[in-house]
Amino acid sequence: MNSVYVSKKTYKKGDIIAIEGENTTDCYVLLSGWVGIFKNKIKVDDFNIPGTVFGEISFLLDKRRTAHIIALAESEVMSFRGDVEDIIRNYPNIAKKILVSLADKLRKTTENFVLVIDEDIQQALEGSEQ
Amino acid sequence: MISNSVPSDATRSLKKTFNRGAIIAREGDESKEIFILISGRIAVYKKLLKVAEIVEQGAVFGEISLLLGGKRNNSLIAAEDNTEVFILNTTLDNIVKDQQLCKKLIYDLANRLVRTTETLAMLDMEL
Repeated sequence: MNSVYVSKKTYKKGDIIAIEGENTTDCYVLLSGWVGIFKNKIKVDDFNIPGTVFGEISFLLDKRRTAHIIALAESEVMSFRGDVEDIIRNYPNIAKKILVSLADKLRKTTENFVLVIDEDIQQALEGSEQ
Repeated sequence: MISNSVPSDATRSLKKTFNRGAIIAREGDESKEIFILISGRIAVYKKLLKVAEIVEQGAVFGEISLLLGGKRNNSLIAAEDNTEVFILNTTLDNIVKDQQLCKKLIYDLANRLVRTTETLAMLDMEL
């Protein structure tokens, strides 16, 4: 049985796709346009490459949105919700995109984590020398 | 659980035992295998910094190189004697064909991303 709900929507520049704190669990794929992720009014990420997956953490882990998602230009976005197993079975290309997107974000976050730790160690070493 | 995670077709898998300190994969290598922990512990190092430890039986790790291409960005080292690991030689297409493995990988990655992001946010606040 296919219990995946898929829809497509066009957002105008400035339209809100998802609101921080909201309890929605749609996952999105950018078809065209430009989308930004905002936390406390600060842009933390943006993308314009068709096929980019976003909003997948709320979808997978049933978590409230951790940031605003806003169209920065007219953007066509595919959204889907449903069971992960059904997505893997019926939409393997979306499953692949989710895997690659998560891996990419994890790699970037881990790199930032290492940079912050390195700075921390550096500061501690400098402190101990004084 | 573990046997469900190990794909039988189109994926070559091999079980290997490592002693403490043995290198399972090296940072900078071009290898694309992914690993499933059967028993023991794995330490994840970036240069000389330990960035994570894998202890959960059945955990999938080392998959970033396969998913994104490129060189390994961490070293994986056995953290205790008799650490048993399944080594899978597979492709993204084959992962998606294996419902259980694909689902496990998606959730493992999502949970790790949330944990790393939260830790990073805490460190940022402390600095």
